[in-house]
Amino acid sequence: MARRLISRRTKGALWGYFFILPSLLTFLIFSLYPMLDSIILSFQRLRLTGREWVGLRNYANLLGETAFFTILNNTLLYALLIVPGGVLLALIMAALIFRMPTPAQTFFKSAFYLPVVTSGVVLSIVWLYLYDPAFGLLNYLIGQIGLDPVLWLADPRFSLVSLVIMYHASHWGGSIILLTASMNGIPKELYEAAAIEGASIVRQVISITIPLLKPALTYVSILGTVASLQIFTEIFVMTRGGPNYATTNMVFSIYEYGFIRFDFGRASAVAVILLFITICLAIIQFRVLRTNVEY
Amino acid sequence: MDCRTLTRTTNKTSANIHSKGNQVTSSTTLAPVPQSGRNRNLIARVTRSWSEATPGERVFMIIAYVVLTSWAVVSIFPLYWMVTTALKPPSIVMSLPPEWIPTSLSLNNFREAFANSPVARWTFNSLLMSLSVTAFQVLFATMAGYGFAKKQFPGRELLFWIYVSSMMIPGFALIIPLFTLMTKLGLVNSYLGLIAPGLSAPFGVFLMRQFIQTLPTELIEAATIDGCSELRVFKDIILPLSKPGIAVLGIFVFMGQWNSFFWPLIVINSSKMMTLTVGFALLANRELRVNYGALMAAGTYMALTQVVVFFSFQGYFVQGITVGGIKG
Repeated sequence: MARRLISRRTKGALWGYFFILPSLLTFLIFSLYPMLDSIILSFQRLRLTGREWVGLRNYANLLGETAFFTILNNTLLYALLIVPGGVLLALIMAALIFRMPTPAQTFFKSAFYLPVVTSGVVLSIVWLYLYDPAFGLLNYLIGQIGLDPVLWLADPRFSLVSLVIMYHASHWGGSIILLTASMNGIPKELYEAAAIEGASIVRQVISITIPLLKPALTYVSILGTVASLQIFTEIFVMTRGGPNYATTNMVFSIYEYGFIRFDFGRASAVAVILLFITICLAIIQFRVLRTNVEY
Repeated sequence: MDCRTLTRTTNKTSANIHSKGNQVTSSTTLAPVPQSGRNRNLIARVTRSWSEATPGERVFMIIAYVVLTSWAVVSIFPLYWMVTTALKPPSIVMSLPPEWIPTSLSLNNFREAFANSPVARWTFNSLLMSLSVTAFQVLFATMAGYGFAKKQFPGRELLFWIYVSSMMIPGFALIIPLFTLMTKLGLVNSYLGLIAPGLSAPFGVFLMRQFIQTLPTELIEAATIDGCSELRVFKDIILPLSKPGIAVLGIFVFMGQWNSFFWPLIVINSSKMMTLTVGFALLANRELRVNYGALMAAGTYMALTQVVVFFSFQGYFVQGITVGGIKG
């Protein structure tokens, strides 16, 4: 009896391994191994004869380039211009949608999510048209109110901001839906009690909704940060990183170092630094936003 | 009852368990459908009683509708502009002041966008990549999700933890090593190279494990006792009962693949192997530069699949978006 029990348990474990095996193999080959190899590559140089260890030279070369600091600066600027504003925007939209009757909720959620399901390439070419200095709608509209045409994408003062505006207009649908769903999960009794005590709607949002929404807000803000640090398609299609590095971020420079100049070592060094920044920002937000969560 | 009759009854009653499984997921995903009586009462109190509402509440509602409608316009207008521009006759596309609502329709922009580029082949490539990655990911993730949810084996918790923590690894960190790996394997510019990295699916495994955990273990035990083989249990019990989870995962993987850009751009280097996104993105930078009529036609063509999928499976999207928020 005991032996049969053990053998059954072993059999169960073997079937367990059997079921996870295909996923585990692809995970090891296409996620875990590249992850580790990325770090190794950043200390190496690729030659026709093979890989050669170069120590910290990739990092040193990178820090020696003046453009690198522009790129680093741009990367953080994207995150700074996208995440706080975007999360606030999603929060406001969710708070407004949440009190609507169901048909209105469905309509607005679909409207906000539709640009999210169309690809980055589609949105990029549409905005390329909207931003066109001669034929674009934006310059036509600001011309109607008497302003001079703006070189949205070609003027280094505006190009990064133009990409950020486009990002805000089309990327927050998922966060709005998630936050609305979380607001629906908050016990209604709290609002009723607050309303009886005479708390205004704004007061209810500040004292009930936001504190109870912290887990969802943390999630939205971390995902938003990770996404804002790796914008690529829009830069590739709309500005190619220009004018003069004004819109180049670290991900685009990974592409440039890796696949235009074929310097895989330096591209990997950028990837490792960016990964480090991403993880740090995620941890900071997790720590800051996760305090005092109680249901 | 032998194995066959048991699995048959399982399929019959599966609809029943589906709805139960659904409820469990939606409550853990913080996304209860806003239909409960109490909820409706609250909404009714804000919406129905316009005549009884205090002036403050009326102002709030007007502001809410104005703000939401404005943002909805910002959000949708670019797509409206894309579709209507694509359908205008090419001679009118660039005219200013713009024609906000097209007065005559034409397909000439589409003809121009499709001329001189192998769009049929690109569509085939995009479909092949998206469908194969979706099929494999769904199969692998459902198998692994079942393993993690219902099987006991040493290392289970550790492995699952590694999966979950790697969900946050951004794609850019893997691009260079994946490319050198594909070079080594001789898979650059091949369908296998295009598809292979998509087969690793930590998020899919996470999603399917969460889903399969809500299925009743007794059913699996009963089937095993009645002599069903392990594979039979998976095929005839787990797969049919997991359909709602599989639908959510499948839709998200398909959409993600159809829209994917960075990896296809890197791994493909000949025009006929390109996907739609890469092909048209390169045209936007070269042959079709400032030919906005043709570009909007290309964009409309690419977005069509996504919009159809979105409106056909709207409910699943809300579930898929909210599932990640469980643990906050």
